[in-house]
Amino acid sequence: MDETLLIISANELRSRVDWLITLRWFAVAGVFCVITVAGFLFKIHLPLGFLYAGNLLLLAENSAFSVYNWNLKGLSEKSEWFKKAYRLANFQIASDLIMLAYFIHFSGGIENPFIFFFIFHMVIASILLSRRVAFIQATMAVLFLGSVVYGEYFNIIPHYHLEGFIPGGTCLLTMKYIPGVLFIFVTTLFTTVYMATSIVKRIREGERELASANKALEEQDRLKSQYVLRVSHDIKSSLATIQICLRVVLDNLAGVISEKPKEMISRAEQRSKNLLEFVKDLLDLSRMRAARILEKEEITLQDKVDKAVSQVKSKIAKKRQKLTVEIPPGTRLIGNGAALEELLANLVQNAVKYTPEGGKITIRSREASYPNSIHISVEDTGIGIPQEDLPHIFEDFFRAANAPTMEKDGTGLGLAIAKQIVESHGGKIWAESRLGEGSEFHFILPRG
Amino acid sequence: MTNTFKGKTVLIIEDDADMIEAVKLILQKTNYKILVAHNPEDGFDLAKKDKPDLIILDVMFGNGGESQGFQYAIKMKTDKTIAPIPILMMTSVNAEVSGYKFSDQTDGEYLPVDDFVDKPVQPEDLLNRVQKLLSQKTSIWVDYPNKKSV
Repeated sequence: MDETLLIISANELRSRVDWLITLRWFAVAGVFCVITVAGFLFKIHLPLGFLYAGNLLLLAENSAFSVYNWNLKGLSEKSEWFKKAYRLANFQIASDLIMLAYFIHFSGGIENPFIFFFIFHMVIASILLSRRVAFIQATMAVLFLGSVVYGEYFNIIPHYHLEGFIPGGTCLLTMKYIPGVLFIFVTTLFTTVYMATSIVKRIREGERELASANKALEEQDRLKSQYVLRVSHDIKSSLATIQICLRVVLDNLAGVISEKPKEMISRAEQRSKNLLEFVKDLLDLSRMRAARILEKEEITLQDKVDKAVSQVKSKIAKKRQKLTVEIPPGTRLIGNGAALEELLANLVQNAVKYTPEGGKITIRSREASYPNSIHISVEDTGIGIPQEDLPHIFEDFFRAANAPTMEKDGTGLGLAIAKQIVESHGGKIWAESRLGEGSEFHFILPRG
Repeated sequence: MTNTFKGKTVLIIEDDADMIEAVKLILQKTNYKILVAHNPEDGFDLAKKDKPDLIILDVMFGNGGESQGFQYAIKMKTDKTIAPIPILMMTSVNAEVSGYKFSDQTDGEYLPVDDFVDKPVQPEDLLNRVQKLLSQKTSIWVDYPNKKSV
């Protein structure tokens, strides 16, 4: 069992057994045609009764195999299925050898060039079965053909001479011809098995190496995300505890404190908040970069925009900014909901941050000039981005020179995250801006 | 507002002693009775024994980085005595943990907790959430795995 498991995978065995049965249907049809053409068209002298009977037998046999194989698929126990399917494959090949020997016997024995059809079964056995069993099948083929040929030679069974095929009425059943052909037959069969099993072995080894390499990669990936999760939690939870402890003091919950200590603690608390934000962004970014596959679902754009906007609603009201959303109703796309929400939130938050009081922010979506894509933009009437900074704004940690005038602290990661999200969806992001007049962030996302 | 729920019991299940101190200070004004468990096993036993009015549950416990809070949230909801008690989950995990589609927006759909707060939590926010859940009285997940609509 272990040996066979090393030879072939369950899936491959399953498809190969199906394949073998399908092939045999063709063989049934093929044998029928050959018998008919040879007997009736070429008028070769053949015992047609026996041959057609064999043809019918092959048909019946394959029907039985087919039904048995169908029933096998219902087996829930996998190892039992494998054992039975393997045995079925083995049995099918052996029975094919007998059937072939039968046909050969009734169609001239060693005079019939179809004896080399045994090679097909050697190749099939080499693919399906272990090397040892394939060699046993080869030995069986030799024994079957040998018995037929020598049985005919010693008159134990009748010899059906291929009259009308072998020229000049000579019978090839001679002491010299038989060993010669059998020798070539044996060497061909064994060489075939040797070569085929060697090639199959090499291919299977390669497949196994690939599979185990793949598994190792998956494990590495899992460890990596586990690591990110650990770091994320450890840093964040410590910072969160520091922040809340300071907050409790600031809120006088641990007793009233005077102004100066309060101010210093307030500074410390603000820094811990900034650091938390920074860690969160950094981890978001590295997590996204580490992830190889992005889970996707159908998304209604308006929903995501609403959620992104709700995060900044109070800030917009405070700055008396005017927000306009122009999205054609029913705009949908396939994407990662959480990521797209974060993308929109980042861009909208930036617009709010870098636009002075009373400014305008517009979120717009339209059909992109690319096929089957959506073009979304977030525009503002803010401070704008200096021309020389524009090419760098999507880089990690980069902040435009004029950014601190509006927002003292910033991680410089928001747009890097935005870019990462757009690119992981197979899209494109860019910015246009005029200093002092406003900025436009555009991105194109494929719909599906 | 401080006396509305006087005499209520809140169980904090959290392994961070500093966090516990801070939460205690935030809640002390309210005169709630505060119970503390440093790991989910003790928390489970304490919840069963003392039947608090609210459970504040952390997610990650110990250094193994294990997200035991998730499992315990489910375990508590499958226990008849504890199931009616609302749970406020408080955590700094917001990565996707396999098996749980975890984020502060979606976790309610997957995890049997009544409310979720991402650390760092602000005192006022925590107080509001605690009071909201106390006024709710019975967990929306009392018939876990079915969720009651609020």
